[in-house]
Amino acid sequence: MWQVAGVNLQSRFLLGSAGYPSLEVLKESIINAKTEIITVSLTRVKFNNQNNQFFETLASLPSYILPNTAGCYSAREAINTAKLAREVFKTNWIKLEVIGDDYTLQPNSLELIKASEALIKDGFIVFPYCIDDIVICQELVNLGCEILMPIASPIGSGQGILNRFNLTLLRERFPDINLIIDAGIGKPSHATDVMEMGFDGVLLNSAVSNAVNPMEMALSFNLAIQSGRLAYEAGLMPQRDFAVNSTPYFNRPFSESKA
Amino acid sequence: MQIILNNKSYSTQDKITLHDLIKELNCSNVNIAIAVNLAIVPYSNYHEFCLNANDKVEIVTAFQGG
Repeated sequence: MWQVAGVNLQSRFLLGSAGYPSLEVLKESIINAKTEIITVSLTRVKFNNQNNQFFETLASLPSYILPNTAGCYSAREAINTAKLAREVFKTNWIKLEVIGDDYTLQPNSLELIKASEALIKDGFIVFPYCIDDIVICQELVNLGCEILMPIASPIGSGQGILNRFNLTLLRERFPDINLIIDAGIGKPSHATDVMEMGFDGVLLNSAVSNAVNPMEMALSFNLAIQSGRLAYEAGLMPQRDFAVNSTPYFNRPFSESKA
Repeated sequence: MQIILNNKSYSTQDKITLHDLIKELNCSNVNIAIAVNLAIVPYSNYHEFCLNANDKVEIVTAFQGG
């Protein structure tokens, strides 16, 4: 059990809802993931008089909804998108994304800070998609962010952790902030890795939706994240530079040692 | 009058309310949000809020996202 944004959760797996082969596969993947927070976005309405089946699928699940501001390049755009999302989804949670570079999809930290400040003042609970920079993260915390979502590697790259030092430092520096790795997780072992480091949760999308079998991959990530957390709580052995025997040599047969 | 609706030109009656516009568009009035000239209009104001010519109207709904 952990608490994020004022709610108690069992699962530490946050799952994106984009890019699945069908809504049925999305729904089954969410069920297998046992995720309690699903990320979503906004689109312009198509005036075809059809029901929004995606919304109906979401409504059939017990998970919390975390809308994003994907595709926004300025604080102003992100703020307006967040306000629209609050109207549509009836939530003050927002996964705040302000993109600064098309090639890496790296966040624009200056615009992210501006948007965070405005949205927190307006009553939002901001989940900022941010870089793993200690100074930027400290600024976000100073503004009132109780959650940070640093990248492990670029969105959709599936490379896992690129800068272990920075992520380790973030965990040490912000022991009371919910740190959720967002972006770059490609395989379950990456998720286990960050959870073993003490991160509070993992948010991913492509690693599941792009799998050959998303439903089985969702289950695999679910178990991997649980395993990593259990290992962190159990306490990992210290890493050493040299070998240390595990079998005691005391009274070993044929030994001539008197000790 | 002409308005810009979801980034396309759209012809409708003068001073139409948002309530009547979404009715005219056969658009569900649930699970949507509307911004007019970048300002969000709360659902409770749809009956009273009248549009002017050249207003930029965005009507959005839920979509898949990561």
